[in-house]
Amino acid sequence: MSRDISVNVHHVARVEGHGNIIIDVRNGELKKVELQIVESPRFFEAMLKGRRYAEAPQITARICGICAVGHTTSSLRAIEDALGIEPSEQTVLLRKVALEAEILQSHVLHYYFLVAPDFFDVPSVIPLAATQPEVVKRALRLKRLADDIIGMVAGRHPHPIAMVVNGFTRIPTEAELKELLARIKQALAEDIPPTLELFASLNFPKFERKTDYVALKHPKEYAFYDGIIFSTETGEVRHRDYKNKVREEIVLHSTAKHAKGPFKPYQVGALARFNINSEKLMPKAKEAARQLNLVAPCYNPYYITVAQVVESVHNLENMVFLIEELLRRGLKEENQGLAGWQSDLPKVEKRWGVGAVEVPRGILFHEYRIHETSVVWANCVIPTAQNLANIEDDMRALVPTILDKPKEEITKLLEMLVRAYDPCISCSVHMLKVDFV
Amino acid sequence: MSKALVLGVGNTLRGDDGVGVRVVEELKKENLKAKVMNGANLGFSLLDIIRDHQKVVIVDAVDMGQPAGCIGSFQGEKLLSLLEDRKFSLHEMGILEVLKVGYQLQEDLSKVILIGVQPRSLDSIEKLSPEVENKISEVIAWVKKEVE
Repeated sequence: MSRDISVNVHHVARVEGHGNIIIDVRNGELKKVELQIVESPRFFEAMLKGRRYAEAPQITARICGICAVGHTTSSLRAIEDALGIEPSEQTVLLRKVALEAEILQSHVLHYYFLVAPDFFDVPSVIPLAATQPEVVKRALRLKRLADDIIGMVAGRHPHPIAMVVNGFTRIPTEAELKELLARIKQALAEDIPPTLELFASLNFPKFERKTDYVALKHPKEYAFYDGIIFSTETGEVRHRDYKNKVREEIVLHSTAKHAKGPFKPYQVGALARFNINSEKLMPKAKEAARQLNLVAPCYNPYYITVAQVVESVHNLENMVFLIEELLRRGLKEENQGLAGWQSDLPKVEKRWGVGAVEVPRGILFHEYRIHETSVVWANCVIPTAQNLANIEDDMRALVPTILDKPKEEITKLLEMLVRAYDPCISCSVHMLKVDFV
Repeated sequence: MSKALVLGVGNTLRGDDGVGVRVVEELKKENLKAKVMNGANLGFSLLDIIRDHQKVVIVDAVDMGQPAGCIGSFQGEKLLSLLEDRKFSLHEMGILEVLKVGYQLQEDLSKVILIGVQPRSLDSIEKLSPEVENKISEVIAWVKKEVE
């Protein structure tokens, strides 16, 4: 069909930050596809230069108000990698609880507040609260639970204060952990079944495009905190060699760099993790995937949201496992680690380290060079930056298949596609309006 | 349930948007019976906070279409009509958006009093405009009248 369509969505709604979608079709031929990122750059890497290394986790936590635990964790792991520090098992268990809580919190916010309104044909969560109060109340309960876990374990929500290099400045008490455990079990029993019922009843758009899926992979667990970088197309890459997989490029239409593979774009996030690690999901999460008809490998990017629902079940179950493990071992006051405010940081001689951690939207890299007590160079590669080029490839594949639809429907499908990736634009600039030009 | 709470919200890096936080910082120096809290950019947790208190006084910059520094108090019907009239941004979950969701969820908003101050500028500076600065003590008096 020869048709001219120009889509120009200025500031896509219900994503974190500002981005535009530009589509130009002339005589039925797709001329231009851009996901413009118009958020101002934030220069965090430059801010880190010259700062004492133990300050980096607190500084980089401020990159994001949603994945602050993720940035803190990746930063801590990069520093510990550089300094050759192996934190205690208790520290690792507590960090994993905080990280899983944050992934739960972010996923709930995305699938209930940002995605669900599309399926009820309302512009936002505000009218949804009037028509579907139970849905919104359930979402708020789950979010509060996740927020409270982060506050209890990481010392503050959203920006952790107790998580420091090689330890915690404060650990939760047994009573606090027991209270959280009871609430997590209650959420699994009461709030998860209706959540699964709701998302099983939604009809996600049908569109498939196989791409390269990249996530951490671990022999024993559904990897978030630890693992080797794994690509479904090119296999394993050691975390310190991440630049063999991730090439950062500057593009004119985006203040966020595009980080992609050396040959082609790839996808990170919940669906990539599910496609690579679904065998390692906890039992109830596996059951949830069956109920939601999510089978690996899944090539439909709209199903990223479904994978998030499945992961949130896993997060709750795994937190039960982690907290029970902590209680079984008994909490011990250990060394308090190296905090940013400490004056006597150990000096090191020209070290280098990389932290690779799965955060809600995908794999996050922090890389630092450290000399004496200072960060002398830093690089942070944010998940959304890794997804941008892949989203544009999705749009290039999708638009020709929907050209017979009314412009409003094309626009909605494109917005939903971008939203499915749950882009965190403010973090990636270092995105969303659709503009048909 | 705790008694009264004074909650200052806003972003101190955005000029007059910081007025609520500024007011609670001043109030913290005094010995109020009410709890005083810096709410900064509180999201939905505001609803839990409201549920946990008998009375909640919120101080924030509110565009009322009045001259800068003008103070308005909104409660009951008046607060609800403020929520009705407002054009909601799809991007930001500000205090009024959260209150609106709370209203839709049939939370008890009768115990909420919003003291709004008309901002002059929301530019990226860390200080208040003189018009708003000059009204700080008056805003504090309004808050005290509600909670003392």
